[in-house]
Amino acid sequence: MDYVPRVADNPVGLNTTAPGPSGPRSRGGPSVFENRSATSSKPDARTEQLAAIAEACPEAMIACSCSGRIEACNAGTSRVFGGSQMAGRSVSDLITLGHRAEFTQFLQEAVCGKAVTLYRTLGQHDDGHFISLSVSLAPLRGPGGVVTGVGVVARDVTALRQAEEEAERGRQELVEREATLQQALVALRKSHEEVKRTQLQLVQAAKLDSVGRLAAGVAHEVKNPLAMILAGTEYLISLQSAAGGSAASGAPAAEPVLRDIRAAVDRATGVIRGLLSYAAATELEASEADVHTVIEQSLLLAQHALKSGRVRIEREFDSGLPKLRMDVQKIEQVFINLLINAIDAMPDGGTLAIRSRRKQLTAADQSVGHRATDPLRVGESVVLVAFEDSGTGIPDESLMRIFDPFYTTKPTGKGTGLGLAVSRTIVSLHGGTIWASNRPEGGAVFTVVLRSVTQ
Amino acid sequence: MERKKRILLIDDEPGFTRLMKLNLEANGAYEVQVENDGRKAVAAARAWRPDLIFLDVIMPDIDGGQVAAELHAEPGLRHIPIVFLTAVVSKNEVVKRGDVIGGQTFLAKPVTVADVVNTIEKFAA
Repeated sequence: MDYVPRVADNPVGLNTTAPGPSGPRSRGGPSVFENRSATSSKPDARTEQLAAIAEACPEAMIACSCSGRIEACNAGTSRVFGGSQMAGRSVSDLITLGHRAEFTQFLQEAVCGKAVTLYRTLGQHDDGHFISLSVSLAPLRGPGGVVTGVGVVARDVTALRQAEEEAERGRQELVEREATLQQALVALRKSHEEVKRTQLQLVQAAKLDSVGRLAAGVAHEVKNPLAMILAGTEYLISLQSAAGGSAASGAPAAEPVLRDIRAAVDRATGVIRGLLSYAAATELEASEADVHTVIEQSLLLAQHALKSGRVRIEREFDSGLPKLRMDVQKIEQVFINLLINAIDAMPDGGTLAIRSRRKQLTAADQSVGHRATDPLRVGESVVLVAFEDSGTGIPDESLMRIFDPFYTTKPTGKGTGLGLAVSRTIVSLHGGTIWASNRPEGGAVFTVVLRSVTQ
Repeated sequence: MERKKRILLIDDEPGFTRLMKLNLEANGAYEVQVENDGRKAVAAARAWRPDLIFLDVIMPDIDGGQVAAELHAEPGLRHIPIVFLTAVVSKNEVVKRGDVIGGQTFLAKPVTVADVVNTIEKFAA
């Protein structure tokens, strides 16, 4: 390469090159120091000022030919890119290979007269390390406004870039922390809900405890007068019968009235028994039993109600079920409760399907956990007895509370709100559980889950 | 003619014992005596020698458990079957007391006359 340093013409010590392919020039080609007299051998004061500024500038300031050959540069160029021999090199070489095509494009645009300001690219230092650059390119014009070259100003923004990256990392970290906080907030809300629920349960338990004590206390006092009413009523009924009917006794309407009184005593007794069976601490009299026999016995006991309620029973029993350890009377009580509820849920009659099957519990099942304290655990073998009615189903708001004591959807006088609560207590005493849900096709399903005896 | 079975009702509720006595006597097969004071129950049993005793559990001054224990302690009375007839609601409680005192069975109040008669026929010799 024809390389002619023109120190005399280059008062600030810029590297200069011989005229490039664009043709001979009087000095070392266009440069930022163009503003000098063509004839003067000494730079004028203004040129010296500009040169001093350029020299003090930390940015690389490069004048190159239209073909991109470096013709002049300031001392900042060496500070940014390293190396000392810049003149004659292609300015594109200062840019990494990956970004070079883009730079060349901008260079050509500058040759065509279009300036590019502060675009970000990646350069390479003489020692090989990469430099983040903010680059501006502007056409350099000769006499008559003809573009004679391109001025390139490149600032090392590596530190800035690192700071930006640091800031971005910080921002990311903040985003992650915010997400973590959000999760913590959700968890906090959830545990708050749990605390509220536990508090409610405690209140409920306290309420029950006092109900239990109250019930046990008043039961004796209430049952004795009930016993008297019953004994008296039965005596009067027997008198009526002995007298050969109502006409002879002179009280024609007495017998139906007495029978109504007797039914009322039965009802009051039932309410008290319900209360007590829920409130009393019950112990199980467990024996091994066939769950289907217990279902059949419950159906037998409820047959009158089923018949008058026009409820048809469908059985789908798994014949291979193992015997279960249970208090037969209490499980019978649970089944009868569920039968009566199903009858009440179908006032116009309907179908009640009773299905039994064996199952290995999975984590997807309700009320199933992994902890030793969980009533039923994943992998455990259980027997499910499902009562599926064809009624209207259970409203969602009731599903949550349906096993709560004293919660009833039945009309006043029809239910005590204790049947399902008692049922749940009994099933829990057996180490099992009971679920209520709605069937997609309509109607409700109550599932009693009992442990296999082999467990 | 077969001797009527003697039934002793020990209960502190005069209304109940009166009505139950009426019911059992109306049946025609039973003689019934009533004792509303638990403290006099043993003396009544000793004097009358019933075939079966219905015994209330919760009474003032002395409870059915103590009465049963005293009856059991007396050789001449120990053979008489005792049936607790009580408003005590917990079966466990009755069983617990019954185990100690050798009670035969129990009926929970309110009780139907039919249940009382069935119980007599089952336990009274």
